[in-house]
Amino acid sequence: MRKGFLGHSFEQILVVVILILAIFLLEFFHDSNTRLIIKALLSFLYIAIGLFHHFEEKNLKPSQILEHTAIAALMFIILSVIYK
Amino acid sequence: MTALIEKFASTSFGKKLAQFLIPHQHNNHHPFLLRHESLFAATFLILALQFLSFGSISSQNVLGYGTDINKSKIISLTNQERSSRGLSTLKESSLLNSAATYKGEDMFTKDYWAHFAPDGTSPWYFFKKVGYSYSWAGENLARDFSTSAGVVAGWMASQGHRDNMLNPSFTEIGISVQNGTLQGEQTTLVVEHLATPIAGSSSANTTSGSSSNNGQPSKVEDSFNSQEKKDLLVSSSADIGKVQEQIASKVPSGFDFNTFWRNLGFGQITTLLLLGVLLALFLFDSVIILRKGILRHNSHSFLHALVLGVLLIAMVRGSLGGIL
Repeated sequence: MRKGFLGHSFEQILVVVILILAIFLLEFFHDSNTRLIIKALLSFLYIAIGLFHHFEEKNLKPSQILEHTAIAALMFIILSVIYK
Repeated sequence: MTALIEKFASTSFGKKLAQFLIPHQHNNHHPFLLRHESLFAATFLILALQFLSFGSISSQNVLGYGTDINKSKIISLTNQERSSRGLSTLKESSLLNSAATYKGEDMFTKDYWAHFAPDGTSPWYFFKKVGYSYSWAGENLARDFSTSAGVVAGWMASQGHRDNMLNPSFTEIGISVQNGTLQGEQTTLVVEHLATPIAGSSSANTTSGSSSNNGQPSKVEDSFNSQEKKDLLVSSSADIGKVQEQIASKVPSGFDFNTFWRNLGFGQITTLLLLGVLLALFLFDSVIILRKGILRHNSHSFLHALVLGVLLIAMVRGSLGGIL
């Protein structure tokens, strides 16, 4: 499991880097429509990365899709509270 | 630590609680609170909290302005700060309120965040526009704050703004709180005008906002040339004859916990708490799973914890307003 845990580190770093980049973009663009697109893209990307990962590992289940969707929705709401 | 958790999980209350919090064999190594049902519930709870907190205050739309800032509260808090230091309290002036409103409108119309407008209009122009003659005048600005206490705490944390608020020479105050779009961003702008009227001309100013020139703020600034403006900005206080006008020249850039804490509304506190709890649960889950060497395909708690951690930092950072 330790190997598996570390094996995910590239994806974890990638997701965090994308999230930080998106926050920089949200800081940079003040237009609400542009911000909405960035937040929506980021949320879809989070779901897509999760789906791709589980699909690749051949253990994709509805509960995993829903879990990633829930976190993506939470991400969208929080970013909408911060960046109107 | 794992032994302690196992012991706690063996009690009847612990067994029930463990189902929600701790990964173990009875919940298929996936705590109920970290399953998608609970995560969706948390998301809807945060959304509901935003609706509730924004609906109960002077907001215009959810996830829009949503601030709890009002004039009387700012004046009262400013006077509390002064009283606690043995200074006289400031009297609200309707003329200064009008001057502050004109200044706020000018900032939204010309789209600038500064004491001086891009066309050179100075803060003191608005005092004269409403017919307020002063011997001392000062201006503090704030944007993107959520509460009145946050605005006052933000100013008090900055030496220049604090000097303005605690200046014993000031006797009157005017505030404007306006919502609008500034530099492309929906914001609540707070303008604070402080002044001492020239003896005799004063606060006869209780009649409201008659404009001295009946027009829009003109481009010019009376007695200031650009060098004088520069000096004023740098030195934070300048003498023009017997008149003293002062604005803060330096704005602190660091994180002030008191300002952050006092600027949190109900919705923000509960959202931050909820995010913090979820983050702690995901991290706890990751540690247990890693230490026990459990192979679990159906969740990536550490990844979720990282994402929530970044969001929490962004939210803390976004909870601070700007002052000038």
